[in-house]
Amino acid sequence: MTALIILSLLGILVLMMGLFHLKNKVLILIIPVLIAGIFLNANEYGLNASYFSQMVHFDNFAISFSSLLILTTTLIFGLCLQQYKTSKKPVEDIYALIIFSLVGAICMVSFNNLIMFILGLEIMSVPLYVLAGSNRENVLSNEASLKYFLMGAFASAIVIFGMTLIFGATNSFQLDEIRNAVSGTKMPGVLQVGILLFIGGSLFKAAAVPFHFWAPDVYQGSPTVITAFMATVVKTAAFAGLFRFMMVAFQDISGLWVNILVIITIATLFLANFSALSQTDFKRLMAYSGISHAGYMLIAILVLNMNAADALFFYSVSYSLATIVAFGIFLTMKNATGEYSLEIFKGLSRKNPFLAFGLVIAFLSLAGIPPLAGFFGKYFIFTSAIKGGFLTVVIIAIINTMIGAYYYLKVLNMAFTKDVYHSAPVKNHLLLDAVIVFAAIGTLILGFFPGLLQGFI
Amino acid sequence: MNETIQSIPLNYYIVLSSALFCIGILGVLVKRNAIIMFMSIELMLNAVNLLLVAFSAYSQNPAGQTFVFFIMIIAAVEVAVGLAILVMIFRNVHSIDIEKLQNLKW
Repeated sequence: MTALIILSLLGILVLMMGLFHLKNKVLILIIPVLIAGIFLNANEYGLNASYFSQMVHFDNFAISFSSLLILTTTLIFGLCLQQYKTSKKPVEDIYALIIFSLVGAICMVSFNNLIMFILGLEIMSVPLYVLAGSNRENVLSNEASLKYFLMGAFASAIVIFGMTLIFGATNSFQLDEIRNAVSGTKMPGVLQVGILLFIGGSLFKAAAVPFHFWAPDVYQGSPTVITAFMATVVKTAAFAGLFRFMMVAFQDISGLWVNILVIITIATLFLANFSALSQTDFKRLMAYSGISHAGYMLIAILVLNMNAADALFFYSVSYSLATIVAFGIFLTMKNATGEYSLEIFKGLSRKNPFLAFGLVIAFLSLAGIPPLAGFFGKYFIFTSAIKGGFLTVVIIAIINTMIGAYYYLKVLNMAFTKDVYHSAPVKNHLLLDAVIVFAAIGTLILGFFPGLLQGFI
Repeated sequence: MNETIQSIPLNYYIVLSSALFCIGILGVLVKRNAIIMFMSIELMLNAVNLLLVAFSAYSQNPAGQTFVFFIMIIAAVEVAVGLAILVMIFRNVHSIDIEKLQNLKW
């Protein structure tokens, strides 16, 4: 809760600092405050406090996930300097919007009332519609912004309709009251439709299959750091929010929704991995990779117990760290060559072995090769699913892991070829390298000591 | 007031709201003019408002009517941001037909 207040104030302050044309100097304020926010947030671990007449509830689940969200945002601010270094326009408003979006994400993982969930969803999404189009002169960025806005508003309306039907069937917005009312409801049909609409709308933000079509376009058109923010913070928040809602309210009536979720999971895994095979643009590849990871995270929502919550947290951490390393390296390469295709990685190992090593760690972790964090993320999710009786889904997921390894290794293969794509030198940048080193070391440590994050929730 | 609302069975409200909501969905999926798509999204949100008020009156629970105000705010916010995005696009492309925006393949 302290972190929520501090971040809201920080966002307003940064917006005001636009008056003084400080540009990237505001990062000197933002990054320490965000780091302090992580510690203040972690300080509330175990308190289990509720605020605003039980509208938000900071239990261990909320504290763990909101710490992860703040950490991820801090790392993304580390990339921002590189993206906006040469910007002639003010950047304070962009930074303030990122912080506001983070505040919405924290509301989404700590809600205890559906009103708070929808407010968090909107506080997170509305700044993102603007951020996707923050490169105003670029038509691609404009187009990404409009597509994201139209589809996002559409999905929000569907979520709200689902919530209304749930309210009609259970007569409450409070999660624990909904749980007590679901079994005795007079309108089971209305409840079922409500749950399915709610799941559908939430999966839109997380980019799972029937609602994934916006992701490649929006990821490609948005500025790179905003893409990184969407791929990590938004996805984590959407999954944590959905998991929390299903776990608290609908665990007892899983028969109503579990079959449809199994179909969505399998479709997500296959479609994302097969589409990713033929991509040539890095951001589109990361979009499809993100969709396939959404498929693995959906397995945790199928299982829906404390074990799965732990696994989902570990998976989110490993996915966020590896994705940030990948986007950081891509940002350096893009600034050196000015292009977006996968070809720019050709010969990276000769030009800049440091970045090539980071790329190896990131992509092997995303592919799930031991002993990196991504492997244990998948391992924990699969074991909890087998214990929960979803053996078929796990077998399909393992097949998809093998398909996924192909396109990750294809990029690594390019990085280690002899022919160099572009002769321009690839320079290192202190802050960006610090982010890459931090995230890569985190991935390695979690790979060697996966027990560190177990039992947090 | 409640008696007036309750003189119509609850199912009628559900059917009416669902119909309005589906018209909104069709509008978003079929129309190619961005302004009409915005209006369809507004229609979806207002269908939800109607249903919330009906549920709230039937169950004597004011929480539903409170939520209507939040939905109105959300609708206002989305229209404000959406129109700003449209103006930005119109400056660059000189059109609001989304068929003209095909640079990123769908």
